[in-house]
Amino acid sequence: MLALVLRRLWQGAISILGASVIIFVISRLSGDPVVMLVPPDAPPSLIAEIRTQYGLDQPLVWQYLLFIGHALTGDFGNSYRWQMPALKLILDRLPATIQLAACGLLFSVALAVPIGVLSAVHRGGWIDRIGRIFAMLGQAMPAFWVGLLLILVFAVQLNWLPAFGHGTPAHVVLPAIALGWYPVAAQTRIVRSAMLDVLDSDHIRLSRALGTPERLIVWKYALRNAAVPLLTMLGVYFAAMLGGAFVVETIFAWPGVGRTVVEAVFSRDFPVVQAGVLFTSILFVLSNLLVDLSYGLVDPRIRDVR
Amino acid sequence: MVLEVHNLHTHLHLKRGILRAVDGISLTVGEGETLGLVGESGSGKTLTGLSLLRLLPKGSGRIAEGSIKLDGQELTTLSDSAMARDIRGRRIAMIMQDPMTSLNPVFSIGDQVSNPLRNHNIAQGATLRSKVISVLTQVRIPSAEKRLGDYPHQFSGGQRQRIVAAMAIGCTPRLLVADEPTTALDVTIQVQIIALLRQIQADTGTGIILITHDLGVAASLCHRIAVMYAGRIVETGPVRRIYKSPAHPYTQALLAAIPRLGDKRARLQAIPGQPPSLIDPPQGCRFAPRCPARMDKCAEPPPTVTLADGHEAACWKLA
Amino acid sequence: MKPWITGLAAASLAALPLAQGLAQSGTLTVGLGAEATIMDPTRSSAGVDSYFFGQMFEQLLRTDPDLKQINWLAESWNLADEGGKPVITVKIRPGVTFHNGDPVTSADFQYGMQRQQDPKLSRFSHLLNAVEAFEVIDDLTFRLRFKEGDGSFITSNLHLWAMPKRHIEKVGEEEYQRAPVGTGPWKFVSRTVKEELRLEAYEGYWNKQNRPTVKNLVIKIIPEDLTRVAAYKTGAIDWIDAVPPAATAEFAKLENTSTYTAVTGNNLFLNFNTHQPNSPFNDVRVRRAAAHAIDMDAIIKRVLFDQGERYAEIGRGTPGYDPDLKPYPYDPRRARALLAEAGHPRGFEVPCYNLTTPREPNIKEMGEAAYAYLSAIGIRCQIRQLEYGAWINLGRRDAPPEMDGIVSWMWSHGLPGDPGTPWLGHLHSYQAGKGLGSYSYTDNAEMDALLRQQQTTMDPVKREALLKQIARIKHDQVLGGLTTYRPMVTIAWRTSKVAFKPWPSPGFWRNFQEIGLK
Repeated sequence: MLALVLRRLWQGAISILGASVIIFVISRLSGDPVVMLVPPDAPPSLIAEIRTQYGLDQPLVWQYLLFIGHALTGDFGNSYRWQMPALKLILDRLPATIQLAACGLLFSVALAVPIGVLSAVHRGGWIDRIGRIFAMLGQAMPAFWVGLLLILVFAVQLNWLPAFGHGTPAHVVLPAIALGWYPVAAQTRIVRSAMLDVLDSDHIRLSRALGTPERLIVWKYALRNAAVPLLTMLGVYFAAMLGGAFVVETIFAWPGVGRTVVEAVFSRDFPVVQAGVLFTSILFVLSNLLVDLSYGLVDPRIRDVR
Repeated sequence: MVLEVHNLHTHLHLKRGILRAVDGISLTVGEGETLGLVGESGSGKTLTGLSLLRLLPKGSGRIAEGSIKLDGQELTTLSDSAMARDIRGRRIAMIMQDPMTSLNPVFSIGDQVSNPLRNHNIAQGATLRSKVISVLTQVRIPSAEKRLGDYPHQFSGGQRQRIVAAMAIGCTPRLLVADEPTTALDVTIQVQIIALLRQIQADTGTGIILITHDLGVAASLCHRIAVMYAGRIVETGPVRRIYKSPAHPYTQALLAAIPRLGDKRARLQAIPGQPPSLIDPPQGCRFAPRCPARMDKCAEPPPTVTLADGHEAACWKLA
Repeated sequence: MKPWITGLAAASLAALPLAQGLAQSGTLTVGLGAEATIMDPTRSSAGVDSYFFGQMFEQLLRTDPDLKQINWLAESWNLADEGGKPVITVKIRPGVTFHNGDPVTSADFQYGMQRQQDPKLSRFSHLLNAVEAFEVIDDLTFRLRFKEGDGSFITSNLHLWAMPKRHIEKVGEEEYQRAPVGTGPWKFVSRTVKEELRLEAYEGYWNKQNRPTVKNLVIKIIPEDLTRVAAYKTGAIDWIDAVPPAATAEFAKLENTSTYTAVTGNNLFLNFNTHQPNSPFNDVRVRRAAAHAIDMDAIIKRVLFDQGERYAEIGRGTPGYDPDLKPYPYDPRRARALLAEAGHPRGFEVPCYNLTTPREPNIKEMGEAAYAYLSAIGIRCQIRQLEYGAWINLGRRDAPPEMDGIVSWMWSHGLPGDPGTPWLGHLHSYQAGKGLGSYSYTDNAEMDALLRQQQTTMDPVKREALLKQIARIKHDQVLGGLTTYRPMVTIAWRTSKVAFKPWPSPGFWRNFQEIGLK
């Protein structure tokens, strides 16, 4: 087990390093951040001064080495726009980001698993058909539209939930639904097909032949077998939600990392972009590791294969 | 009599028509007796076994006619939940063909063996644990106590089949339906499993229906044999008699087809032709199209002729 | 009027200053569409920062709700000439204190000016280049000595901010940035990035006439337009910034809601590549054709939902505004005739760069509409959409890429502001390394001379005349771009609950100088 964790972390470190190089180069290719930081009437001397302050007049390789050197000590530099440590800007947003991603994932799983299982068990029946339509709707409706619709109905019309913001459990409900809505389609399909596979297997038939109640067969003995492909998909979605919830975060004024990084990209705020991408990569690697470890929990055959 | 099946008809309702997979069979299994249900694939023997447990394919499978009595209780009229609660795994248990896929890979064997015991309220808590250990020991799983938390992939094929057997006998069923239990195993393990089944029968007096296409295996375990062809039983009798003096032309052909050590034949003696379609089967003897002893009379359904004590065959030739 | 009613009125009038002096209670929650990144006026570079620091910091002069410049922290000031060099003497209003209780003195303004002149802190150090020395006369009097005239100094409310020298030196820069202290009507309480700013009415505030009448102010940041509207409708906020243009009609009819629409101080125009020798826009007739081709009134009405004001060179309220200078009338026939006259009877193709980032509402659609009008008369636009970063890079003269056609541009004069500095940026010819004409495609010696002159003229009357003169030539020759419109913003609040008087700055109307609960 330890060997597995160490190996994954090592592979992850390489991915993260690669991502940081790519982001470093691409962001500097995208344009001049200094011009966007000063008023339009700023004289060239001021622009040159700021460029020197930020080390942007150095050769690219040297800039990168300095960045890596500082990054290893936890110093990602100051945000060009906020003039506060870029790392702090990102880390402060992390709890809210994780909260939203986790709730979004929970919501999508809470819908996908029952619908997927029931669709498989009653294959071809009305639940299956409705489930498929529902999943298709999920894919057809983009997050921003779902978000605005939710606000209109549940906040404005019914006044059950707040329209925006962060703080109480009530605040996370609508954003989590908007975020978790789209993955439901794919997850339902995975659960359904995995369940159909399992329900057809010999050990399920044997279990039935030995008189196990159908309820237990479906929800305990079959479902755990269907969990592995679902877990893989959840890992991918969780990582995506951690870094990519920009649209939902903007609509609900949720103070998350996605919004912070995207806004930094638009304003060429390199330190924040770098810190943000780095952290998203780390979270990605960690969540993949978590998924890998969870396989072992769910499927004992995998534990011993290493 | 543990099991009495009379005139069982099991149909599969397919899009292309009604498949009469089991077309009027009758058999009995006594206390401590092993009945071999022998036939080629498609003969309906597996479906017969499934019919006893009422585990037919959902929607398409149906028992159209007939009676199945276990210790005198009629099973065909029971509800599905009653079957699950009282019969399956409790009074009739099943062992399936492929031990590699018969066990749930993500649950420990301890959990899987205790499952039927729990579901049928045989034991709880600490009693349950000791019962599981005892039944695993009974099927010769060494150090059963230490291996309760182990998973199927940590056992060999032969051991897995034993574990399946443990699941089956946990509630001391009256009847064991073993569907090709040795087919997927190599010969040395086959012997062990056969010995295990014999042991179980000796210990518990359970009746066994051994479904197989392997005449050798049938010979080593069964007291009596019923030969099935195209959904019907063509010959029934004590194992020695069936092997020594097979009466039905199909049985004779089956036995003749088995290659013997020392035989100097150049070619295997196969039975020419194919079994008939069971959607629209011929009215008379189903084997007639392939029978070397075919007569005109065979166009009519043949009578069941009693040849000796317990030895019957359905053939015009014997009438 | 019946005597007892008069008496009642008199009594309530008398009670008013008393009520304003009492410590208020209650909390008001408002919603802004954007937030500041820096809360220190001496370190800020983005206009949006004033949304926050504008509540907590003050200058010597100020623009009042009628867009008139009034004395604020300065009790009085005067402009004099000493040996050909301008001198401004300022008397600070007595009794003004910072939020921590320290009194405001000349030293604080000197300290603030030093911060503004330090390129390590400030992005506007170049605006104080003309100030040679800061002379402290006494605690409440100081003198600014200029090496030469600075035309925009006075119209920029004398630039300086009251910064608490002792406090900043005590707590250090980092802590000060986290918790700013100023002289404004609102005191900093807390700030959560991307969420909210919490302020408390400053009890020791100097201005007893114009001040908030609620104790706590919570500013929520809601960037998505529709969500902000939903927040107002659900009562989560009682005052809303930047009602989306398409919703302004609905808000005007909304029950229990008051709205206020005003120009925000940005100035938009289209600029042409007259720096390239082969450009068809080098012919003034082609430029005039473009001016006649666009029905700006229709665009303002339909694309901007009336949230815009046309202007010709200088907007209403800004020094140099000439009511007799009218925008070019919409006349497509004349436009085509001018094009033909200039030698383009069949028109020509030209790349047209459009900004997509909504720094102003619907700016992408506005640009597309304008370009469509141009195309209709023969200036066939090949639209290139650009996001903010790429757009800025395109506009700059000192770096590639070259702007080779028409670009939709903007440069704020301020509110009421001053065209001086913007014109030096996009009307004066490009002088590499000098900070002049950084975004300009024009090279006109007469313009350059006049611009230099207004730059060093500090006498407001003389300067106004110069600005009008420049505006007339600029308009006639369509130099430095074709002016289109000034965006307007609509804010709204709950009538029964909120008492609000809009002040234009700092903050472009997002200012809570006078706000309270009813």
